[in-house]
Amino acid sequence: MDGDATRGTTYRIVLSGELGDDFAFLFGDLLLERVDGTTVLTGRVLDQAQLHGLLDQAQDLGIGLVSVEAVAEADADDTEEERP
Amino acid sequence: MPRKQGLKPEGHVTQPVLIATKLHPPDVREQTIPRAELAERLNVGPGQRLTLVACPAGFGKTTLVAAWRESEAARKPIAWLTLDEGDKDPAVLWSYVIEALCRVRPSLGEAISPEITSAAPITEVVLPRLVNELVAQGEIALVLDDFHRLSAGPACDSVAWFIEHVPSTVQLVILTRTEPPLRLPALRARGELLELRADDLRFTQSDAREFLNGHLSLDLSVEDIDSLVARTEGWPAGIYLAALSLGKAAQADRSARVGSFGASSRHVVDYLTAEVLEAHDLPTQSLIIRTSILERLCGPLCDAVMETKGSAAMLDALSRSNLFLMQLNDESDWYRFHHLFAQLLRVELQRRDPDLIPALHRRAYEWHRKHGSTEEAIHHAMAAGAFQEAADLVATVYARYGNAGKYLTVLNWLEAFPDEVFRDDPRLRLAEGWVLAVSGRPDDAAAAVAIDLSAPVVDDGPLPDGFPSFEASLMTLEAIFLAPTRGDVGSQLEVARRAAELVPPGTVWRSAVCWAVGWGLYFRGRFDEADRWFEESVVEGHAAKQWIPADSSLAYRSFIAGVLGRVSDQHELAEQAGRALREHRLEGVDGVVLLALGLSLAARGRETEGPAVVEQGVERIRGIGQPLHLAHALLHQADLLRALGQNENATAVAGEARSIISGCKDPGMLRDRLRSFGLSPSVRSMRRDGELTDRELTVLRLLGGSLSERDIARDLYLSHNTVHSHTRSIYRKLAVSSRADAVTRARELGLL
Repeated sequence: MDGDATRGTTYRIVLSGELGDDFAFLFGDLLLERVDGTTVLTGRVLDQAQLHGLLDQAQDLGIGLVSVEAVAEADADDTEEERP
Repeated sequence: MPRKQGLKPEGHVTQPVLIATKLHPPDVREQTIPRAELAERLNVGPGQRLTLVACPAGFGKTTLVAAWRESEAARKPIAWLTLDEGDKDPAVLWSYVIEALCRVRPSLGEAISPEITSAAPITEVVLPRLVNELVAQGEIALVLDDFHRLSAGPACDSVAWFIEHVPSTVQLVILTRTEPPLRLPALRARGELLELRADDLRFTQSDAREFLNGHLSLDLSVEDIDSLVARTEGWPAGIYLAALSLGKAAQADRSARVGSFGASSRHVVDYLTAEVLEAHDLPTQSLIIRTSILERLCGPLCDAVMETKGSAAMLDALSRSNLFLMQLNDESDWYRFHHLFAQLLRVELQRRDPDLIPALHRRAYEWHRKHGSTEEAIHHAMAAGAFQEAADLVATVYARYGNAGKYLTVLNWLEAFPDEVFRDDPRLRLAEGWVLAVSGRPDDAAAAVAIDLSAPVVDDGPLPDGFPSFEASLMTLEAIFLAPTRGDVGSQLEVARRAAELVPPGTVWRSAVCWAVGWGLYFRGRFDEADRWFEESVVEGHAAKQWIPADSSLAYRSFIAGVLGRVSDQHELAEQAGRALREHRLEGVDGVVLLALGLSLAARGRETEGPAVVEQGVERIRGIGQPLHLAHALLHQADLLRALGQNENATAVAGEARSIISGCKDPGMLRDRLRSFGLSPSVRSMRRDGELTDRELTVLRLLGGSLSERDIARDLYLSHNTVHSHTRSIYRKLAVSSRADAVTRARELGLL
């Protein structure tokens, strides 16, 4: 386990299918957006346990996982700014 | 490795009951399709140790295997167990597994019972016993549904051990959403694994036709069915959600609905949930949405949560028409929602009534506290944020669960409390301390109860476990477990006497406290006084049904009679202790009782039997890991061997006692007993006050890595509070004030 996990890391999680905003509460403070037939969740995740908890939420609904990546802080800030 | 030593603080306590609904295979419903070819693949050949059905939620794993069970049950017994969070505790898991196996194979029940898990270590004793008994039972299958709920940990490890050792007549079938950590690559390589995965369970066009038009009579066109299969990628739950949403629509509208579903980019569950709900009237919608917080449902529980009446009839009607609500068994009217559907309902609940959720949990807590299960009551109290109520329950029942060997169950509850609640409630810290001590982890127990009682605490007793105050609980814990583990007779006697002042005669803990004072005096060599305390312990123990301290006290009275040369008393007391041991099936004290019996046999000239029984007693006491008691037993054994003229053996046994006594802070009269062998404790190996305990060394090593204290706590099954307490003690002993300095200092000292 890397040291970053204990301080919190920004993740981008991509799920298959578009989910409405009603589902956002399942994913804590992550930003939920719909992009071309997928759902993109972005935000800070405290540690590995929390990350797995978020993935479990998708799994509980049978929602497919497309990708999970840790993103550099600068990229995450860009995402925030691009929002209208 | 120290083993557990039971202690029963409550007189009326029995084994926590098993929840019968977990042991019932779900009924196979008429609406489901048989999938005979898939089911046939589950009939594995010999040598395939594990059958794994692994795919995401909603692929029909349970339905498939339940149908296979129904068709195969005539050929061989198939036991069923649905796992939940509580099964992360191996003692809980295996008590259910044994119960499930005994239900389908009653002859197994004559050889082994679920209660064994409360009395013996799982991997070392329970599983080898079970495997041996299964050899004689012929073909049998065991289905573990929802295996993903175990996650990695001791329960999963115990299943991996079972797979490696189980006879080839046993078929283990595991249903899971995630790949379980069970050394699958090795099983695969040896051809011992049969796997069914998502692609095997997807609905084909013909499955969908049979299901939608055959069983559900939706009368859809081939094109519409193909469109549904393509849109859902053959995901059975998606197809079923679509069917529910179409069921109430007029025949003429169905094709248009399929068309707009196919054209939408919304996720299947998002698109369909609203449509499925709208197919029900408002009271039914309200019922299923609000009761989605429940793991299991029954009419009265739903009435309480909904604050209405008549839920039972609605559940009954719903379970006939909706595959997502399953009846758990015919007799008790319990149901559960399909997990995936429940999760969708919770999304809807959050959307419609987010503020109502804590109130719903609170009502569920209140119902379970009065009519249901303690575990579910605690779960709902936590979910309602009613931590005070949850703490009250945990503080009441922890000893019962601890005595049943369910340590992890208690530790997992404690971990779920917010830090500030845990820190400010000494009852919870004491519960952690007691459970850790009983499970053979005295160093952790000592750290857990490093409580400053001079600070003002809320509402100091009487406590729900029967102690009159926090201090009484703490002193008793110290006197029975912590001081003896340090090998410190002086402080043991001091805390035991304090406990005796605090715990009055006629209360449940009095017997244990008298027992502890008796020990202290006995190890001081003050036998007459000790005997009076042991005698009171026996009387109090019988009155309060506290058999463990009462029976152990009888054994000590027998030792005292022996030392004082009253041979017939020695014999009578040892026999009484032996009878009580058998009558109450006591595990924690059998070592000391065997020792007493062996010595009394030897004293009456039984030169073969006596030493053999003494040897057994010594081995049992060795397992408990308390130095004073082991050294005491060894010295008795050495005496006996010397009396029998086996001087060489006597010296060897006394030598072992010497090295144990050398590690004791204050060994009391054992030092003098040792001198009678011409030995004295070596000074060098005595542990000094400033030295780190083994446990602190473990924590120190973890502090050298990147884990947070919270992660360390999770890894070690401790509360954050207890790990923090270990850390403070490490800093103090190393004379540092930060984690980085502790690691640097430890490297300098060669500890890391």
